Amino acid sequence: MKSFTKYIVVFLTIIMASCKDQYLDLVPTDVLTNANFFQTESDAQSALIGVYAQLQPEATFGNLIDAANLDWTMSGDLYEQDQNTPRVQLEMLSLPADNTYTTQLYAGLYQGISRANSVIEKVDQMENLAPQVKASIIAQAKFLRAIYYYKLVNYFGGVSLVTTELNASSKLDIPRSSAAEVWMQVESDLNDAAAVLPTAWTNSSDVGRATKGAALGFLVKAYLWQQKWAEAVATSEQIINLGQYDLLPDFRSVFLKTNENNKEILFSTQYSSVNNGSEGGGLDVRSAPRGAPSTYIGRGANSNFVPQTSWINAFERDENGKIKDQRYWGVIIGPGEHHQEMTNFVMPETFPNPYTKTGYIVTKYWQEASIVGSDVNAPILRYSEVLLNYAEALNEVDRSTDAMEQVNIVRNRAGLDPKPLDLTKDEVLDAVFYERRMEFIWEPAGAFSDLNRRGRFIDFIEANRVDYDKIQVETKPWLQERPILLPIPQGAWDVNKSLIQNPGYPPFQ
Amino acid sequence: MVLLCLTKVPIKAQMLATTAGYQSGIGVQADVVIQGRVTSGNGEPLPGVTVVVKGTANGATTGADGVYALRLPQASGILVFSFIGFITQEVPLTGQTAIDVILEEDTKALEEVVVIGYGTKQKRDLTGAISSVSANDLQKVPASSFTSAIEGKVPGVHITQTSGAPGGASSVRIRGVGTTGGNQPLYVIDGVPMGGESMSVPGSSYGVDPLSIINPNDIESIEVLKDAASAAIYGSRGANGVILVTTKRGKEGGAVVNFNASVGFAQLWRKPEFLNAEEFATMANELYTNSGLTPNPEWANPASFGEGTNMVDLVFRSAPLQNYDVSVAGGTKNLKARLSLGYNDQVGTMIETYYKRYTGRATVDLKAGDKFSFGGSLAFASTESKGQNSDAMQGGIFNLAQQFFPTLSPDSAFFGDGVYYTKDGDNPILRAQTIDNKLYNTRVYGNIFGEYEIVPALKFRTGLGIDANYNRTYAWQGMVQRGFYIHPQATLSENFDNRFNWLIENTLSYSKTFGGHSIGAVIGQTSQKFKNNYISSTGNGFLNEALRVINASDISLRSTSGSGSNSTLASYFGRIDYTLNDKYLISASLRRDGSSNFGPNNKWGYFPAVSAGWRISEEGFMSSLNNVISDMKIRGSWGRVGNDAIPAFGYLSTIRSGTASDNYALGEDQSIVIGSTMVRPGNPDLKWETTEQVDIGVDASFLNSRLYLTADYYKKSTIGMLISLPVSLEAGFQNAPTVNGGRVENRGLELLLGYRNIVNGFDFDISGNVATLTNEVTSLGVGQPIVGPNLGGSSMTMTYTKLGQPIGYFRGYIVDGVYQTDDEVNKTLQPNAIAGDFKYRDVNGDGALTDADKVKLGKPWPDFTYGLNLDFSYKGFDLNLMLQGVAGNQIFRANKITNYQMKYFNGNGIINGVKDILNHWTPGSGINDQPGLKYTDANGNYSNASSFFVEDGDYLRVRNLVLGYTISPEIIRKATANTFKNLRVYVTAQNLFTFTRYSGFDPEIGSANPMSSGIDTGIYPQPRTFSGGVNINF
Repeated sequence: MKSFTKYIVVFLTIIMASCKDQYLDLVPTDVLTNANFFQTESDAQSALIGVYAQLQPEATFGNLIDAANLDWTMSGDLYEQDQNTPRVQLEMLSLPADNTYTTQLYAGLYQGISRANSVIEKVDQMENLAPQVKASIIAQAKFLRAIYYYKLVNYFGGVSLVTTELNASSKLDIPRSSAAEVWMQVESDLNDAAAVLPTAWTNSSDVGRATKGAALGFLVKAYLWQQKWAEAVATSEQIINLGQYDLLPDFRSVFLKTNENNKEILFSTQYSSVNNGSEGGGLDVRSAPRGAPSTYIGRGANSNFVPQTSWINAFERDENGKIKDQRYWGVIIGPGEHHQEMTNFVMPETFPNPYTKTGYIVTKYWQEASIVGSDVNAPILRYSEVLLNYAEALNEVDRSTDAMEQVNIVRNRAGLDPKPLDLTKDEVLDAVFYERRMEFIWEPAGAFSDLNRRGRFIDFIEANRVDYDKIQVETKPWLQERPILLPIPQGAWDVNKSLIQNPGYPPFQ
Repeated sequence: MVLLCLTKVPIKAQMLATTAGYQSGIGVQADVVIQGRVTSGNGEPLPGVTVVVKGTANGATTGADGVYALRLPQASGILVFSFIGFITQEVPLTGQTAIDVILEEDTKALEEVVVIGYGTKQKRDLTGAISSVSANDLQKVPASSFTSAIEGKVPGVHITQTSGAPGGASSVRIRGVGTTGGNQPLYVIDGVPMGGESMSVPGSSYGVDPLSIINPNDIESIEVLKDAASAAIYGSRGANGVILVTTKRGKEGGAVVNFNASVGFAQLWRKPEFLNAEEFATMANELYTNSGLTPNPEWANPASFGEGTNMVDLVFRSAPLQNYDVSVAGGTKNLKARLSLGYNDQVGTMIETYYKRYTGRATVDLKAGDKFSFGGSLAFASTESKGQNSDAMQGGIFNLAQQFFPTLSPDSAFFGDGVYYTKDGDNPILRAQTIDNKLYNTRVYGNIFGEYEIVPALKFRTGLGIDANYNRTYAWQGMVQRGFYIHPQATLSENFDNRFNWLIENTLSYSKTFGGHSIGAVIGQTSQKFKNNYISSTGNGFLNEALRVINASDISLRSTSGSGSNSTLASYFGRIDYTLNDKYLISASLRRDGSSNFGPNNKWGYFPAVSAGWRISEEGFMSSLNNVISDMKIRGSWGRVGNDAIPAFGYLSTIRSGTASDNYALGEDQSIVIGSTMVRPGNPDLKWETTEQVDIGVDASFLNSRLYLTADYYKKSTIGMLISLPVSLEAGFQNAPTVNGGRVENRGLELLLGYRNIVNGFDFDISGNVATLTNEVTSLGVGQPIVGPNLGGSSMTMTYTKLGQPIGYFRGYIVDGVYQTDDEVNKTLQPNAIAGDFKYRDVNGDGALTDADKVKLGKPWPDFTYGLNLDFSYKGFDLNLMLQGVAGNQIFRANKITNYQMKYFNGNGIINGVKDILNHWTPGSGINDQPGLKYTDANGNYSNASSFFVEDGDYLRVRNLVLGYTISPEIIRKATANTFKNLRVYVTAQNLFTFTRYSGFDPEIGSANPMSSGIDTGIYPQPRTFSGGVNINF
């Protein structure tokens, strides 16, 4: 019996030893938690970087889904040469609610908003931050939240407005707000940001962050959408008066990876090829000619989108029929033409071939054979857009001559003759839109979104798209709406039944 | 004589004695014939009784008149008489040559001992639903993993191979699937709960079976704990059932050496038929013409191509396999040991794939005095697998082969005009040759225990276990530009993953019988800790591709990553069993589990169970039926078990730093800045899933135990199913929080019925089993249906989980044939449809085709699973035939998107398709089941989930056929001068025949993810194997 007791004691001792509470109270070793994050300035800065990081996906500010799949393919100036079904749905404006790209766009933008909301809310609660650091972080996060919302309201109209950090127990079936409410939020965030953000970042390692000019630039775009012309004029002048921006003499050099964040760039999504391209972009792969030798295209190419000949034909030519516009020579190559940097690459003369179906390739982003993610930034807002936005607003406040002066600045850089200053109001608007079209191919501006904002989209495609009849605009009720809105994605409604579909589309059920 | 004394001398002496006996035995042969008659208690002759000399293989069986005759070298030893349903009798040989025996009927035939959680029990005393598979059964299926040996044997256990790759993992589901999350059972090897994490060869999405680490020949028995009462002692890890594996140990007696060798080959049992070159070119031309595009001038003259290249034939082959293992076992009263080594080598049926495994195991049992005993085991397994991506619809070798143009030569690259040649095409043979992807796994695991008998009937046992699991993956790809396919620089990625867990276990057990009472009890405590870490390194840009190590890569293009995690589990448990008069059985258990994965609000969980049994056959009123009913027990059980397969620290909001999607580039030099983002919002109330199960069963045997039966009805409810909350996109979470959301019910009947007998030396055992399953989601706490994942590259979602339906059922439009003319098209329903497109049914008749018109098209879960097992042996021959089948399930044949469309589904160009395309719709053809060939699929024939893709998945498979012959021990001893004691040769075939109406390549579609089960994306098909082998005992 003695040994019995002895073993019971041993047994109990082992039990006690192994079940102290801390044995079960582990903390994760591979991730941080809300319990130990947002403690230091470096936590706050790093969370802010996370908000910037959401600019990089193709679906958000990578100039791919918005610029190529939607804007430029819908207006017909880029040709989706793969005939990939979800892209054809966009190209043919059939716009089903379950389109994979519009769903990605919607989800990606809200992910950016969620990241921004966390930073705005959590950093504000931190007590150990210097006031100017706190203000700067929150201002940048607000800028980013504003541009994520800008893109949502631009494509989908009034969307669900989330401005706080949500958690698992939050009410998540958030109904849509009106477009006006979303615009109010965008304006408020941009005004807050512009008040705090610097004109330029003094420390060279901060280049690429949001600036006052970027915030004001988006504010102008928000005013244009709402037809707040006077505010647009005033804010445009504010940007110009910053003295920070100018057009570069050579159009191509605006985009070159060796010349990034130059005087013409108000904001661009930053990509880097260092560290094996883990922060690199994919625009080069999308635009470079598929099947070309690896010497020119590195890790491969898709030529998913190529310029339509109708767009090429819209360029002004000299008496010999040669394109005068430097914007063509800067970022496009056609049959028999050399690549601007890799001069040994010559576009074949005969078509079709796998390189391109139309004979043309955009070289804005395809600048070298990159074997890892590309270094080339995605331009989001350029000074030439500021000028054209200014021109548009001036025209609406009946300062057409001033407007044409702005247009001519842009034309001058493109190597074109100035247009007369005494055009009618409508002619000025046409002139602004012509420059947008030739200036911004494969950038977020200049195509569907701008045309749609002014109700010019259907007229434009009727005049310019060769496949206009195939689209059968009259059979598509959503194309009769002004503005035309993309359908709220089916995937969003699947989990949030409080959403109501945009007019013209079959209702959710 | 020598043999008899062997059992009493220590091993060393024994070996010497054997050698001596062997030498002196040469030429000495003075045979004695012993004969007699065996009868039953009522004087009837018993045919088929086995008569052997104890400890030898020397024996005979009785004939129809019950008479036997036996020729022996010496009239000494012990004769053993055994027969099913009768008590075995031993008669010492003392010089007599005529021995008649009367065998007594065994009224307690089921003395079999079954392993249960933290103990053992006699089978007749079981009150839960436990199925056992013995070593004998396992031996019949020469498979590399024991899971394939259970397949079809245990009712209610549904096993599907997830891949035909050698060493590929199986999905094992016990009594249905109760959750959209982790649904694989807990494996306990010799008392140590093992992690069953599936490892993958880089680039392939199929797992390598982590449990193939055990050589099936090292297994003594496998017990499947199916009901909650049996599994509840494993608490928060028992909800998906528990599989206990007990390995072989040394037994008292002479050293027995067992050697097994088998060789064979594997090949595809069915190959899909693809269009030949002429047919392909003809179809392609039609496709382009239909879409108003110019056909490819290269294909202008289809007839000139003839058969062309059959790429599917070229990427598969007849693949050799071989297996060897050797074991030595033996021991004395105080020291017993067993050692084994095994080698398994299988070449895959797909080119550039193989699997090699080395296993070893040592067990020892030591008795130190009357009260102390110790034991332990140590095992290792080292595997090397080479794999190829095979099952995505894009890019895998199998898929590239299906899609390759038969008009091209086998060595050509894939390149041409983008309207014709898809940019995603490549030559699969060249692709496979330039990729070298391997997984090396080394696992060392073992346990040690000590047991002390404090007072008689009361034992204390303490044990320690470890499991060290090292995975190294190696992924090499050389620099390639081959047509469209570019790999611009050579890359090598190596990943080293290290998992370790330890276990401490202490139990106090008590067992006593007095009068009619029998009490057994166990209480105990256990703690387990899991550690996990990995480091991986990638190198790019190799100077010389012959040197394939990271050090040979461009130093500026190297990157590393690594991380680690750990978790702990602490538990207390107890069980009490009470039996009254061998008739009334009751058992109750309780486990308390605490886990570091659980949040402070739910740190500890309690898992109780009770069960009871009534051996009705022992009742007096049943005595008149004793001739018919040998044994009958009615049992019932209730219990609660948990499933802790929740994400670690799911109760906390976790913040991730430093991955590509967190970081950003900033600064003039665009250097990378580390970012942090919230990965998943925490749910402080997160807890384990609770599964409550009721089981009612009968175990019975009739006619002297010749006819046997086990039947069970169960109802299993998973409460608080762990689900990733379908979070509205507007919330913007990267990963959805896990919540205890739903409720799922599985219920079914299981029946096992068998008959065994020995008639005129013809020994047979025939058994069949069938299980029904009804799976239903009875609540979705979050309210919204859960949409299954969509297929890589396609927007099609195929499964849906919603109230009142099975988990992960198939959902989509009903196809009502094909529009024969443009006029027929209902433009309001299908504005983009033209003649030749599918006609989708407007189910609710509201004049619009909407989400509401998507209906249930099928489900991946069979209504029935069944197996039939036939064992025969006669005069040294043995035959085993095992059939296995499922019925009532459907398969979503997603690879119809690639096999039928011809147009590449996710981009430009076209691809080859199956021969069935020849039956596609053409104007005036009247064909209603296949759309017309088109380049642009505006109607979404191939992007809408529809009944077109869903087929019945019933199949019946001749899983296993073995024919063996054991050479008469006398002959073999004579021929080998007493070296061999036993020699059996056999031939076997696996997956010999499959009967199915399914039109895909293989109806066995496994996936561990219940939300994507039953979806055929063109996985590596199951092979058919033939092999032959030999089993020798020394």
